[in-house]
Amino acid sequence: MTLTRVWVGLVSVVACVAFSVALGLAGGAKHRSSEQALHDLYRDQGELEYLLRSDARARVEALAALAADDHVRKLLYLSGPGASRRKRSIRAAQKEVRETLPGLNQALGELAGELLFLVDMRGSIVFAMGVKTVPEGAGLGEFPLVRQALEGVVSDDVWPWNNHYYRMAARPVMQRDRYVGAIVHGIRLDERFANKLGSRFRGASLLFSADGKSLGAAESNTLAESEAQEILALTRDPHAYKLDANEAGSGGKGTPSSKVPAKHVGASLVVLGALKGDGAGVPLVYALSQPMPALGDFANALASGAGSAVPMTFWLLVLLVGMVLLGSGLYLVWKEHSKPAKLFDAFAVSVAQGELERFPLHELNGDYRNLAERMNQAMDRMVRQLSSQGMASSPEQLDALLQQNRGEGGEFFEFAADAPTTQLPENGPGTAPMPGVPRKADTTAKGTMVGMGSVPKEPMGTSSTMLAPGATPAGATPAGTTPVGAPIPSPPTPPRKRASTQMMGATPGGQSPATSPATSPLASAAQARGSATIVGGVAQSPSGEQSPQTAGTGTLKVDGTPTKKRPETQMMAAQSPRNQPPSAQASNVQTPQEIPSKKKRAATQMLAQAPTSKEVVAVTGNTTDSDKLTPNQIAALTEEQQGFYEVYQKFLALKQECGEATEGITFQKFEGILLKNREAITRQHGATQVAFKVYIKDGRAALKATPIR
Amino acid sequence: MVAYPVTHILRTKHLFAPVIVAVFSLPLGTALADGSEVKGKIAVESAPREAPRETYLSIHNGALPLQAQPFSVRRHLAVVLEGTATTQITESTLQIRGGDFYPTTVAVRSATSMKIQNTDPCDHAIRSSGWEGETIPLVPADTKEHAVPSTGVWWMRDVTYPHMQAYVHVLPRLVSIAEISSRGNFTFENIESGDYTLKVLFQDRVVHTRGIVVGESGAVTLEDSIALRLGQKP
Repeated sequence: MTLTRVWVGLVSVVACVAFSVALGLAGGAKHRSSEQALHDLYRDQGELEYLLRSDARARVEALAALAADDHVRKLLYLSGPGASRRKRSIRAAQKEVRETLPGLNQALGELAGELLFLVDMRGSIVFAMGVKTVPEGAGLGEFPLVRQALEGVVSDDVWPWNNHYYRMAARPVMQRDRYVGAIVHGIRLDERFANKLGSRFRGASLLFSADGKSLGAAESNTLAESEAQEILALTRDPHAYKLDANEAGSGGKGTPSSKVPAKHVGASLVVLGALKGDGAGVPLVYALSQPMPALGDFANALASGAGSAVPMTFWLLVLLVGMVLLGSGLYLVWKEHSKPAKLFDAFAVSVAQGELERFPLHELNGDYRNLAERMNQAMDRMVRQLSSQGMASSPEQLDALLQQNRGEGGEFFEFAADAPTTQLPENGPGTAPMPGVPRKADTTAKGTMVGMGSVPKEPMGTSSTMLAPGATPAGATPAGTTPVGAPIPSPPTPPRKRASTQMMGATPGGQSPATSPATSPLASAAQARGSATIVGGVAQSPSGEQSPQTAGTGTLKVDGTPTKKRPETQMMAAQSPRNQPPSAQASNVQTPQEIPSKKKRAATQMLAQAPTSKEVVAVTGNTTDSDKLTPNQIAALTEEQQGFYEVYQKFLALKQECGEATEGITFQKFEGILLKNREAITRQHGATQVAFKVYIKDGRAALKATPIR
Repeated sequence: MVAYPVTHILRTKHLFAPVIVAVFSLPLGTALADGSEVKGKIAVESAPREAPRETYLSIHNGALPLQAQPFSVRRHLAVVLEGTATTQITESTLQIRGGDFYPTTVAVRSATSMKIQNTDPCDHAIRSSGWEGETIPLVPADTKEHAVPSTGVWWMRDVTYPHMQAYVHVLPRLVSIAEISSRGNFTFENIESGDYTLKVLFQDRVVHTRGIVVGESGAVTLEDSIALRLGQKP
């Protein structure tokens, strides 16, 4: 899962990098295309400026032919000082000029002047073309263009003249090595001129404007009407076509830094410039535009984000996208993997603890659903297999058995259903749980290996396991834990001092009376007599029938209301092994006959010296005297009893450790319980041996029996 | 032979004529006029330079050396007398001639009118700072009369041709405006006796001021010419 998250993180980083690269590339592409378009535009602007300069030079040079004309020179000469005396000559010269000058003007072709003036040295107009009326004495001498021409300068200018704008040019006229006047020439600034210049630019649009009004646009103009109007509006702003003094001075004339910034108008890039010349009171502006290269919608969208000249916003956007990707990835990992895994684990724990019989498939999805389904199938298959081999036990039956064997003092007894299934006794087919049937314990999921494999280390002082003689040491279940498959214990109840029936011991080879106390003869006898205490392997019922008991290993005590009889003798007789029928001996438990004769005699002696029923009662009520056997008594115990006694001591120690009272738990009672449960377990589960162990359950000392095959 | 002296006299008239006119006209003029004359001379030692023009092409013709046009005192200067005496000034005339105002510095008496006359072959549109944005269009040979603004100095320009600029000095104590020759000589005629202030106006400023006392006994001639350095603002 960690690798998955790392992978998601890597993918997010890669996505961020890819996104950054895409944005960067798009922005770069747009930037480069914009830079290229701007470069092309400025290049075209430079070319336009060159064309305008060339046009001015061409007009001035064309004027040279007119200025050199003899008639022009003569007229201007005559119009000089003393002209008042040469009025007749002047009129004659004007006639000659009127006849020749138009022809010369037309010979200039496209440079033919639409305005043409001859000005004497005083600035007075002596001849004019293209003007309707010229008042007497009118002049042009104070126009800067004309004044400089009269001083000998060849120059150009832009003039407004009666609602039109003209590209003007003027040059001096010389006669006899002196200036005699000037010739002034003007060509209208209109669409024809725009077309002439615009044809030089491929893909560019050119228009001229004056005071925000179009003077003419090239026919190749590709501008939309809205764009043209927007450009015309721009021409009203001096900052759009003219640099400030500071801006112009920063980079110097002609350097890129002194160029007027281009404007984005619609889908075009526009650069504006003012026509040079101070003759007009309103700005005469040209607008040169280039369409912006198209990158495509997506690239433009990316480039608009990257090219917004806000680097921090850009990187924040990239970081945000990365965080979103990473968060989404981690969320999906959690949703599709971590969450189902945790859910599956919780179900597995529940199944292991017996809270669930099977994995609930409807609460799982995807692979975990399939996995759970296969787990269920595997469990079912194993249960069926065990059932077919007769090795599966029915937990219900085991629980019932334990419940039945749980008498007074037996609340601590638990059945260790965690033993390996393979070692469980055969319970017959049909006892295995069918699929879908809830089970309280899964005997196949976990188990304590008894006599096989490694043995778990037993926690110190918390549990003890005792096998019946000849049994293989069984694995211990950790203290304080409920073994898997163990039935849920009943709430702890204090020892009952006045229990109607207390049974200790086992009845090998037959149905234990304790399994059905209400119907057993012993119970019936106890109920009938009100009170009975049976010590020994034979419990005598009121009717005189005897229940076979394992001699010396079980004690049946029926304690109820005080009895008037003294059954001590019967009890003692019942405890005598001589009174025990051989058939009553459990085949799988060492019987007194199997005990060495010396020990047998000691046991017989001990049993013969056993206290009366009254004393037994006293013993159960006071453990200080009788709970602990004397060394002689211990030495007199059989090997099996010694094992039981060891378990007994550990059990008492564990109860004391848990803070429980140990009063009334005598070895005889304890041994009887062990024998009784061993008998029941071996009989019902076909086990050859039963291992007992001590452990803590729910803070209380408890015993656990493990059937061993 | 008889014709020789006459021809000789005619040929040398430009030498004798001023002397003859001066000798005979001075007593006669003094006897006929109601007031005295005030004469003087202005010498412009440095004229303001014109700003360079921004053009695509401005080159020397290559044949003859440049011949700078002299600074026109008549066009650009105004010489006035201020005082308490009565005056005959009731109106002023500002011409547009040769593509510029003539003169470019105008002195007018307050509470009078001013005529603007267009002698150019092109249209003009005049606007003044004293007219609150009003524009006066003038077609060729057109004349418009307009009330003089209040006392002060006002600029006037042509919105069509930005090089055309004039300055109007509205003076409440204006008595007389001198006639200025192309050489800088100026003359006030019919000046009553009294104390006056002579002012030389150039554009929007007064470049020279002096007091003049005109007596009962004839003309006043300023002994020294008024030297002006117009290229340097005070």
